[in-house]
Parts: sequence; structure tokens; C-alpha cells
Amino acid sequence: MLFLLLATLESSEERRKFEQLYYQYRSLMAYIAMGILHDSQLAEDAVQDAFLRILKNFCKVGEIDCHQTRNLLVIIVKNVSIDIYNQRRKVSEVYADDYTFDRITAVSESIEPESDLSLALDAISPQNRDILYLCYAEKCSVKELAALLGISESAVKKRLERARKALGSQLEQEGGQ
Amino acid sequence: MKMTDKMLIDALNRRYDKECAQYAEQTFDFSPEFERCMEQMFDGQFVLPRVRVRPHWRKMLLAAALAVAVIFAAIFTVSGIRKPFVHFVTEIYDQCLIMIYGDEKNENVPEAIESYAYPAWVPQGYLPETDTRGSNLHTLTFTDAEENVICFKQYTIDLPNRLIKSEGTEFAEAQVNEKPAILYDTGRGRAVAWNDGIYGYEIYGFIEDADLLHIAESAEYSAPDSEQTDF
Repeated sequence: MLFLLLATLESSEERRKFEQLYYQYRSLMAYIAMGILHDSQLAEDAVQDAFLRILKNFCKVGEIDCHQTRNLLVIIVKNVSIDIYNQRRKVSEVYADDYTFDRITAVSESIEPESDLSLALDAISPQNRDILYLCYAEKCSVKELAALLGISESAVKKRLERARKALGSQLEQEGGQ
Repeated sequence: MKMTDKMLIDALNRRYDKECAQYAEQTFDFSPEFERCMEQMFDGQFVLPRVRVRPHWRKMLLAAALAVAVIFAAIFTVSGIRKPFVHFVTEIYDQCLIMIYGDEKNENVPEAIESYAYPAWVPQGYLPETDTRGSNLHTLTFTDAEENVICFKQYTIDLPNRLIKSEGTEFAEAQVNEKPAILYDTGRGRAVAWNDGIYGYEIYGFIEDADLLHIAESAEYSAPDSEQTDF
């Protein structure tokens, strides 16, 4: 599948870019996947699947050595890993915060909030945060979000609505305090 | 606080930058199989997707394959099952042959010559010389005083290699006992070929077409168990 999608990259420049992207971020992605899946083979699968999703929306990838690209890859591999985890546990629609992902949660909790908005973003679920990031920071359309997260467009719309509501109510709570 | 998109984007970027910055130096040891697979893919080689079968699944698959093999072997030792199955396969094979080659199988066409044919008439001066009876080909020759030869051949219709060289040959239509026949030139004189629906025939020699057709129409079967003609 990855081979076929690679063939869809039009120019050799794009192929080189993809190869560079892969070699630069694969360890990071595998490390994140490993933190969720605790299985090196599954982590490798997650990396491969994540790159598949990226290939489908390769136009969203800008510069390679850039924080936005890194954030995008991290979010995608996290989502792919969670999907794999859910498939193996046969649990649907359960997200990262329902499990104890040792390293992932440890890292997330160590971030110091800088403002009300940062506090609110920390308070909402990673699922809501990821979709807000992809929608606002990465400027992904609903279709692109569906492809990147591996869910339907209607599910994307629902998640976005839920995320906006969660962030809004969190900001209201903080404003009231 | 009134939140704008820009504020939200900045906050999200800050949040993810900090989170991701802590992963930056992490390493992961990929398996050699995975490395090889990806490298080959980047080299433009088609690589079959990795199929990972967990050990317990592998054992189950092996057990299932063995069970199927044992059941298959067991049922094939029972002739009551084997025979209908073999018959079924044969039937399918026959049907496939009919689909490919058409249903032109004629029950009257024997696989070997059962009755040998002899011409009752040959032109004056020709005497029988040889009579060779094969299971698929029966050849008679007649010669005259000047050693001109007339050859009479009878063969089973499915005998292979009964081809007539058509390149540079002119064919004429004729009839032998109301069956279609063709007249043509060979290196050994004029020839006539036809089949009577049971066997194929060919006669050739340096004689007239009328004589060829006369010989052909005079051909008769000998009795099935008749002795070979001793010329």
C-alpha cells in the first residue's frame, strides 16, 4: 500500500522529501507509538500506518525541519497508535486519556501553563486538543482531518463540535474562578 | 476573555511545541526486517506488505491446515466419496473441453481402424504391391509396368499430422459418394482427399482426376476380421 502511494508522488523531489521526512521523524514517532502500545512490532506498524496517512495528505506537509510538521506527525502517530490499541482491545471510541500511557501522560503533565487558554487546552482531552490543533494550526479541512485521523467526515464534525464546546466551557469555568 | 483564532493557534502551537520538544532526542531500534522493507520501498522496489502472524495464531493456522489435510486424506480413502468426486472432476474437465473446443465429439469415429477399406477398381495396368495395416493408418500401393505408383491411404480422423500443404497449392472441390472431397496437386501427382464420417482417405498418383474419383468411389470395407491381403 505504501509502495503504491509512494508511486503517486509526482516528482522525484516529493519522493526525496518524503524519504527525508521519514528518516528525520521515524524514531520520534516509533518512540511515541511504543509509549502507547508497549510492543515494538506494533509500534513499527503504527509508524508505517502514520506515514500512509501522511502520504494521502502530503500537501499538508510544509518544511521538514519545522515544529508544525513535527507536531502534525506526532498527532497522527498518536492517533494511529490509539486506533491500533483500541482494535486490539476491541474497545471503540476510547481515547488516550482513558489509559495510563506512562511516558505520554508524564510529558503532558510536566508542561507549565502560561495563560488561561493554555490552562484550558491542558484541561480538555487530548482527543479534543488534537483535532483543534489540526483544524486551527494545521488548517486541515474536514476531509483532510478524516483522512489523517482515519475516521469519517461526520465523526470529524462531531469531534470538532465537541472540542470547541469543551474548550469554551473550560474557558468559562476559568473565567468564573 | 475574548478568544480569537490567532490566540488559539498560538496557544496550541506552544502546547504542542513544548510537548514534542521533550520527545526530540528519543531513539528507537527498528527491526532489520522493517528497515529492509522501507529501504526497498524507497528504492522503488515492490515489497509485499509485512504479514505478522502472532505465535499463537501461527500454531492455530498450522493446526487448522493439518486438520484439513487429515480430513481430506481420510475422506479420500473412502471409495464412496472418492469415486463421485473423481467423476465430478472428470465431468468438469469434459465440460471445459467442450467449452474450449466445441461439442464435436462423434461417437461413430473410432480411435483405431476397425474395418480396412480397399478400392474395388484401379486403372488398368496397376497391380497391388503393398498393404500396410496400422491401427491408425492403412496404406495400399499399386504400381504399373512403368513403376508409376497409386497410393491409397485410410486413416482415423483424429490421427495427428494429417495436414495438406496449402501454400502454392490449388484446390478443386469434388464429391466422393456424395461426400465433399478436394482435388489438389502433390509432389507425387494429383491427389484426392475426403472423409466418409468415420475415416479419412487420401489417394494420389500420376493419373487423371476422373480415375482418382473412380478409385475413391469404389472403396469398400473389408470384413473386420479378414486376413491381411497378401499381394
